[in-house]
Amino acid sequence: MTRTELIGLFEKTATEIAERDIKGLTELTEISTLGIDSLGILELVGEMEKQLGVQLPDDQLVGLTKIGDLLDLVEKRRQLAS
Amino acid sequence: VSEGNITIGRRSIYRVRVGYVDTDQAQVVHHSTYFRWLEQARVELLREGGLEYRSWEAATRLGLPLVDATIRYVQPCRFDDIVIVETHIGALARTALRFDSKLTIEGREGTVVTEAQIRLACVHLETGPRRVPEEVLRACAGDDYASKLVRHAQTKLTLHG
Repeated sequence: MTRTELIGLFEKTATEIAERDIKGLTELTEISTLGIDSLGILELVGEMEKQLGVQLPDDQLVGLTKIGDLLDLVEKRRQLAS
Repeated sequence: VSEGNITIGRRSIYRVRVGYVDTDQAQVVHHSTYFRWLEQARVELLREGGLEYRSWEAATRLGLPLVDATIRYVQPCRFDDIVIVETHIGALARTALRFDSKLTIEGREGTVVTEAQIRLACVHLETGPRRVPEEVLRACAGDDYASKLVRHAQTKLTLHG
C-alpha cells in the first residue's frame, strides 16, 4: 500500500469515527486539527491496525503530531513484521 | 436488554453505611458523596475480577480517569442508611469502559434511589491516553472479553431521566 493509499485509508477511517466527512488530508496535516478527541484517535489507530495487519504500540504513538508521522510508524512496523 | 444498556460480566455489590460526614445541611447525603461511593464500587468490581487497582497502577503507571458521568438522584439517602451500590459493566471498548450503577437502601431494595453511568478512559500517568489493557478488560468481562467489545461510540452514556 502506497503512502497515498494509506492517507485514503486514514480519511475513510477518520470519517467513520468522526461521523462526518474528512478529506483533503496530507502528510503534513496535524492530527489535532481533525476534531477527533484523543480516545477517538486511539480507536482510529486500532481500526488502521485491523485493516493493515500491524500493531502500533501505544507508547510509540506518543508525540506523533502529523499524519505523516503516523504513516512513518505504520511503515516501520510493517517492515519489522515482514 | 437494549444496545448501550447491556450487562457485561457479573454484577458487583458494594455496601456502605452513610456517615454523618456524608450528609449536608439538609440532612441528606450530599450529591458529591455518591461519586466517592461509585468510585469505590468500581474498584471493588475490578478487585472481584482479579485486578487490584493500587498494585496495578503502581506496576503499570496507568490509570483509569473518569471522562463522562451522568447521575440521576431519585430519592435521598440519610445518615446511618446502608446503601447498596450494584454495579456492572454497561459497555466495553478498547478505548473506554462504562460502569452502570443502581443504588438502593438496605431494607428497601425494590426502590432505586440513585442511578449513574460513569465512563472511564485509560491513561499513562506520564504520557497520556492509552488503550485499555487486556488485564483490565479481563477483570471487567472475563476471559472472553474480546467477544464483548464494542466501538467507542457505543460506550456513550445512555441514562435518561
